[in-house]
Amino acid sequence: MRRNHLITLFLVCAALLFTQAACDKNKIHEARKAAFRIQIVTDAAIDSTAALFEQKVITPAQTKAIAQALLKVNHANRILIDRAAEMKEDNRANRAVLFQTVRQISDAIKELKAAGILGIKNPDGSAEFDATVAALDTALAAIEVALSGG
Amino acid sequence: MGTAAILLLITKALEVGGDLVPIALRAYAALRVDHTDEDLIALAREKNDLDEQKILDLIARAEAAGG
Repeated sequence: MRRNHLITLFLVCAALLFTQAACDKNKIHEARKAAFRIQIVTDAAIDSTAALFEQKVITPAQTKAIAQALLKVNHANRILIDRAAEMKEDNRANRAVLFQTVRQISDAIKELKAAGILGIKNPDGSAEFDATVAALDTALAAIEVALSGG
Repeated sequence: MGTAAILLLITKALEVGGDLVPIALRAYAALRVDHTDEDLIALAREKNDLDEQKILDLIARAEAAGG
């Protein structure tokens, strides 16, 4: 089973490498893609949290704390979406504005981590929560790399 | 997304195991189509609005359950 996961993982990474190699160098386009990617991962995080709540893996209080942190991530990403939409050219000033917005998302993700760390005792629930946070971290790292690149 | 981000994705995925795969697949599938800038923004905004409602619903359910 673990072997299958690793094979799938390899295929996903290979596909991502292929996609990224083919993508253009325009940082504004990269920022728009990143905002969309963060939104997809946020959506997955909401679904995971709802599933953990339904399965009674996390308490209503934990669910509320995580959902409130997710709301902040969602709001911060809305700002990124709107700023990326307004930008018409790739320059240092525009990248600085995007970086500032990325930091807001990063702060919201820190709150999300803190809300989860409050105590998901169930190992499966904890692993699922870790996976969603890791996916958000990765999406965020992707935009930081994209914006800092030449 | 550069090589460093790809390496980070691999590192994170190995840390958390197979649980990251469905999420990575979901994110990849959404970006598989080469969307135009306008499409990306429209899709992101639409999903952002839907997600806000999903989160508010989840908070309401958690509060109703005593949270």
